[in-house]
Amino acid sequence: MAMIKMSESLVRKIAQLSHFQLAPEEVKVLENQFEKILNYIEKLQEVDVNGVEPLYYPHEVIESYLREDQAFSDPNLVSKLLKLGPSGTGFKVPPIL
Amino acid sequence: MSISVHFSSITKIHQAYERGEISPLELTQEYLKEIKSSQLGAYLEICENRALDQAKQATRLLEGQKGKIPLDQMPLFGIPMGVKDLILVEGVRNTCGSKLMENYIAPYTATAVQLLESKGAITLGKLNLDEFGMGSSNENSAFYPARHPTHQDRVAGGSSGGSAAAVKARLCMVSLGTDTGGSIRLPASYCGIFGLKPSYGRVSRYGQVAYASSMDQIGPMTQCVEDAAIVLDAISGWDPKDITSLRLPSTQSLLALRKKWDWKDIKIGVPQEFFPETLDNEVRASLQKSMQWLESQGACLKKVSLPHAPYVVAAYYVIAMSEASSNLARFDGIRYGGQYSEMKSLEEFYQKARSKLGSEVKQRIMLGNFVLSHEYSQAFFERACRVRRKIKQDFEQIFQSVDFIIGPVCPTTAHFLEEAKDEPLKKYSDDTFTTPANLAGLPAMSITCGKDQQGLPIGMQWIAPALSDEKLICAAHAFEKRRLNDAL
Repeated sequence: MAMIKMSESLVRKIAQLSHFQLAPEEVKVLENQFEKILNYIEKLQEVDVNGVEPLYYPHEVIESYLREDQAFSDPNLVSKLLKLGPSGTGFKVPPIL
Repeated sequence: MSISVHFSSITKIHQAYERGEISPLELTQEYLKEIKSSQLGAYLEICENRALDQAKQATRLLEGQKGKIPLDQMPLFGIPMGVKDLILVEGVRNTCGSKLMENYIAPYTATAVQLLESKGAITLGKLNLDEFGMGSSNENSAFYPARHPTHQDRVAGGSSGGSAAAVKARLCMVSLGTDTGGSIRLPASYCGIFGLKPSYGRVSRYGQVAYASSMDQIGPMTQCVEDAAIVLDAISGWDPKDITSLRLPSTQSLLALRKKWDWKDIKIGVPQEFFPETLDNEVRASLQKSMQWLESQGACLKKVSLPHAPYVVAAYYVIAMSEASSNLARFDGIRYGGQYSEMKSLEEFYQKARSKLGSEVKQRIMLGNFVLSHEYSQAFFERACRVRRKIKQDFEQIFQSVDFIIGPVCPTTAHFLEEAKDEPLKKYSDDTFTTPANLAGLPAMSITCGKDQQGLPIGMQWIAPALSDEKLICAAHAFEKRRLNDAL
């Protein structure tokens, strides 16, 4: 794979995908740092991984962990969670339309 | 009376309680006093009321039992503990070391903390860390760095820097840290305490704010090995609330410590890749001295190889950043902290909330999103996971012929504050020796093996096969005895 060339526009695009607003000087710094880091991780391409399955978790347990699909209820949980909102009684979201 | 908090182990505290020399309430008050007058920055939050309530209850219980501690049910009876501020304690502020979470009050308690409290531990407060666990010096805390307990112009290490500094400075007896790529072992090494990252899946992650879910693990940070055994036995075991926790009973490390240990039965692998030229000379010399001691005791040391070691840090960062970008997507400013009611659009709302994240966290989220993007996920994320399997296979190969692998925790001892700023790759290279155990899910520890000329502690790392946590603790215990004999 060819070396990845970072650019200001690519940094802005990644920032937008991540919901970050960047100051112009931040973009410049990140462009430089991202390029360094990406060039470093590029060395993964050297490893021969033909026929090797990806390992996502350290232990691959055959037995399923999934519990029964049963509702669990804690009578206080709802009020505990709602208390975390700004008014202490719920959450506000901005208009989306 | 301030001398009273200088107990060297859980057992010593229990003896003092049973002899009536001090009560849990008195001891807790002493610790709280010490914490308040400390300048180390180890704590982000003190939960005084919770601690005093627990201490009063313990004091009453002790009186009711005629001064006898019910040790079977409460192995941590009256033991003052600190908890990394990434692990939830109900009703207590949980910042994750981040401005974004500054006002977040935990609605429930993590399983590990709940288990420790139910077995008698007293929660003193929440300990400093790099924001969301991302860093190795604690300087990425959005509030203030935890300083090195004996050399205050230096860092405590990270990300569980507060957890290490607090134990060393006797601002708690035991602490909980979390380790995703070395975050327990590195600060333990810098500060000169014992730190254990258990096998992946051994301790429930329920209530631990996720950084990289396939590698995060909660573990004990203590003054001595026996204390870590007591804590691990208390927190390990299956938890139905964490699908990655293994269906195994809790560890029996304390029991294992009673068995006879003979170094003559032990084979230890020394990977050449753990002794590169960049390793500090004093760290190298200290490790060599320890290895000579092990051989003199009859242990068999042999050279081994981790052929994929040069790719470990790259694989680790791709996986950690990818998982972090997904895990941290939940910090949208609505459910956790934040709260701006005057925003015009959803996009503006998200951006405003997430602008409170620090630069290291933002970078890792952005890079994570990038390497997971359609165009690059095969080349980076999937490939890193394939390399991860090869790394795990390297270990399996080695462990066919040895019981443990030893090496350094970190290339150097604790550096000065601000010394490693703005050098991401240099900082990442500090993780060369610690990340392999996380990628492979293996238990690993840092135990002090010496000091450099500045008097800074040097940690030695031991890695064991998956699920041999008890045996690792036994080795640590036997090694620790040598340390006491040498009066290091």
